[in-house]
Amino acid sequence: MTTRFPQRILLALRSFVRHGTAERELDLELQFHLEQMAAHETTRGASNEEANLRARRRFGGFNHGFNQVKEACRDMRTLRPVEHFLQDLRFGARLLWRGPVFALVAVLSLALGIGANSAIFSVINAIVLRPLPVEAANELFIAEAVSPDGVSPRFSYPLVGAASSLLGGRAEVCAQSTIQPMLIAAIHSGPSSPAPAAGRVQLLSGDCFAMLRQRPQLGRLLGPSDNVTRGGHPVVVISDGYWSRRFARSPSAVGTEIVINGTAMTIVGVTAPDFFGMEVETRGADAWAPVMMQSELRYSGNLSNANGDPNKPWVEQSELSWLNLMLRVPKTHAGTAAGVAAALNVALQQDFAAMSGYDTDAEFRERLRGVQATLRPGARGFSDLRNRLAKPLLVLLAMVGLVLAVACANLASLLLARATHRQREVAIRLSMGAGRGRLVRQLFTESLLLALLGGVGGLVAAIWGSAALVRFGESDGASFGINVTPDGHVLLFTLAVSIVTGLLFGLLPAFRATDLRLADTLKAQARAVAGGARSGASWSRRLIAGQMAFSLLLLVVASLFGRNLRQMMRVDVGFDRQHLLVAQLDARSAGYESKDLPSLERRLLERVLAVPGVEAASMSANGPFSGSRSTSGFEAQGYTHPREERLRTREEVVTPGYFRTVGLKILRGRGFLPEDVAEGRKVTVVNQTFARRYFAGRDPLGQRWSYDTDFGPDAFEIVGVVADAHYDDVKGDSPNMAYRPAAQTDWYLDSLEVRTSRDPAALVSTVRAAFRDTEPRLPIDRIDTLDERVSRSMGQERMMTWLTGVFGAVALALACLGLYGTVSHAVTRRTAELGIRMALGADHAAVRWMILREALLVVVRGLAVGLPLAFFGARALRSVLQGVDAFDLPSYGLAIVALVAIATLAAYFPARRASRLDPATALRAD
Amino acid sequence: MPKPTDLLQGTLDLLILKTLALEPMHGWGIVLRIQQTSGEILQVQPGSLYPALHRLEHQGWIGAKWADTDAGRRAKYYSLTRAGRTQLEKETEQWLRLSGAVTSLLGVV
Repeated sequence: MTTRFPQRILLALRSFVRHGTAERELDLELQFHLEQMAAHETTRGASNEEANLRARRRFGGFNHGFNQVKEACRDMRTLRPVEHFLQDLRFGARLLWRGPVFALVAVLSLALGIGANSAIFSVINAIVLRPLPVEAANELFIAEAVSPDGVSPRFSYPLVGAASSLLGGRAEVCAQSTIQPMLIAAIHSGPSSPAPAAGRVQLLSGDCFAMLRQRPQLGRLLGPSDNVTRGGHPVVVISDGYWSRRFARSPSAVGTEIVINGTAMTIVGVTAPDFFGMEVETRGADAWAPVMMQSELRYSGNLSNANGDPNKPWVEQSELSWLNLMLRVPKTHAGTAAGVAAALNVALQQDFAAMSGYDTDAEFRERLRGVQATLRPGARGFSDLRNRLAKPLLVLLAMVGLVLAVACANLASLLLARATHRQREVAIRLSMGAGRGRLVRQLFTESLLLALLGGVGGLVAAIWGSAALVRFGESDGASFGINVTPDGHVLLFTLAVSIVTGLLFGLLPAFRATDLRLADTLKAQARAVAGGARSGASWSRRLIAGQMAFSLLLLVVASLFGRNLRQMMRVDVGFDRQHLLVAQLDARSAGYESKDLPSLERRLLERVLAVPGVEAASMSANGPFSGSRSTSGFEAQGYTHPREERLRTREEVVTPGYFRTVGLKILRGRGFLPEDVAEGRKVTVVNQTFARRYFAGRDPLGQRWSYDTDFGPDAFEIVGVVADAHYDDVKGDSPNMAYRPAAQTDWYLDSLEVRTSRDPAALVSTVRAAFRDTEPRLPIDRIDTLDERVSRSMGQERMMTWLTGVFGAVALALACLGLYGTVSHAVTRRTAELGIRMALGADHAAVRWMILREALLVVVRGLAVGLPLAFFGARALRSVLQGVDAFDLPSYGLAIVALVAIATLAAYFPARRASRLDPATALRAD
Repeated sequence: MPKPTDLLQGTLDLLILKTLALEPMHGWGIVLRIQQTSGEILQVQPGSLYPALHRLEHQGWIGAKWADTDAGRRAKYYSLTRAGRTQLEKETEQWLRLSGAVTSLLGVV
């Protein structure tokens, strides 16, 4: 039996692919039979003519019979259904070609709808769904330390060492720092060489590249031998992107020395083109260096500090947790993930025991014992971006899904209208014996063709749209670490969406068009004059009402986002937004040491204050809306709390002029003075929330807070209370904040605040120039007005408002276009009826109102369905929309007014046309 | 001319396969052969013959090749494949069983 399969397949393909040959051969074969038959008849004594006639008759008649035999033979072909499909496709394409306006409108609206879906899906795919592009990514796990205080993803370097040796053979361990901007310069810098530029550097432990199964595209990658002794491995590996940008992909880059934050490092290799590390962020790292180089590279990033000293090398301190941990647990060791977590836990407790204060502080020890190491799947890597964007992206996907549904309903009603026009063609074909199934299939193939054309257009739109979306979400628009261009998954998604779309808008019209009973009723109704229940029309009304309902939902969501953004923009951030310029510096990267800081600060402030138009200037450790923050655990004097509860506060270190410069009002006591020096009494200023929370009903002035429970002279005495502010975003309430004077700390002050008498934006270049004069070694990373920073902090909300607004508008436009079309169609069909009404005395206004009322009834039906939908939608969005209530009436009002206004406008034009009909002509119509 | 007997469903396939078992033949040849060997009792109409031939070909039981007739005309010659030979045996056996059953039934009555 099996032997005949190749032959069958060959034949099936041959008669399909070489369709022309098969047809010709079929014709020849039958022709031959006919001739032989005729010749046979002649031998029996018939005349030539008579013989031909007989032969023909035997074939069942002239052309008709001959063709029937042929068709019967064709039906025996294996790929006959495919032939039918292609036939339908050709027929559909011809039909579309004949009505190019309809085709264009349909394909464009589908391309828009499908494209929006694919674009958002491809971003979701890249950020939320796709695993890291490494071998066997499902073997990767991320380690986390879970305690009653919360979940921490950061560990100390001594722990990494302990874990590696404990887990040897069972799992591979890799530690990574955050990606930090650092100054990178060429080694031989002369006066003409370009200024050092910021690059993004990440520190990795020795096993990382091996664990990620990476191969270099040039040179070598970092291995365990590159991470043995502290400060002893001045080597870096650079990314493909950095290699292109800075070295124009020159092979001589390997071996080149570069200076990173003042330390000469040798480039030993370039990673593979698709490698971006383990972090899924819009921007990846430019270079990777060994963790052992932390101190030399002056690396400083997010840090959990328990009695450690950040000014000493970090790799030796169990007290400093700063590294993310990724483990590879081979699948061959089934069920070992739990065992690996247990071993990790042992290592973690060993590491804790090495911390200073572990032996002496029982409470501290007790707390550490409650910490548990756990593993969670790490195939998709680390991603703050994902945490931030997953929910908004899903909201957007739901919204574009609705827009596409509206587009489908719209097309369905268009096709319904066309179906009435094609009734005659369909009726003829049905009466000629074409099966209904075959006709439905043909009509449906037409819809599918439209949908697939729309899908192709959508894919093009998606390529553009997904890139635009990422650029939109990223404020500084720099190079992207992740690739959002559509891949195979997006292609499949688009295909699936296209097919479902085609089913959605094509099935109903196809079934209705081939309903013979309907054809009869319509024929009857064409002659009838009065309206009454028209099932075709009622379907298209239902479709319009559905579109209105979805549009309302989208508009309500858009208004909610809009009102949410407005609410946020109105929030008083506490700082003076109008007159403040803020600059970001990095004195640590530029090579200043702690002892240089006081004089650096003095020099900078003096110079900036000399700039005309500058009223005041100050420096601080983090700065307002800078994106960086310091948080510490602390105890407040006289405030008792349960032992499990840990008090935490924001901390800021400032120069004496800070409060005046940024415009924070001092409510009690005083701000910092030049007299608050290192040797003096340790002082602090707290914000209102701090005072209210921990000194409720007491006078906070003179009270103290401390990093531990000792309120002696090392604790900080509160000398003032200052107004609350929003420190880095406008969401939620102001947190508690404690300020300390710069002179009493050794913190680096990374922010400069300048208060101006006029528009701060005008002073940007002057301040920059002043800076360059005094401190050429210290470049300004960023300088903006505070107002810019505050608006940038709402970038995501702005994007959501903009996109939901666009989607709502597109849905409403489509729905109203549909309404317009349906009402116009109805007016045309009812011309005779309208003529009679007018002849009987109905005036223009009455006719206009009659048409308009029917249209508005459909809109009201849509609203009735849409309002509950909108309520549910808004409730589901509560976690995304914090600034506005889910039942925010103005949002609903706005959406309803917009929808009714535009819908009325859309229905008004055909209604006016109806009222202007000339009764005499109208009566003669149809 | 006697009215041609209607062929039982599936019998035509058997006749075609049997006819082709002797030698490759074109459609007209099959018609003539069946007519002659059945003593003019069985007449095959082109309307049933050709669809059947095409079906058998697509099922892989017969193959087809274009060749010249004795008179020098191009014609499509069908021949039995190996799978077709097996099928012929199967169908012959079935037919004999069936016709045997019918004959014995008629004999009893």
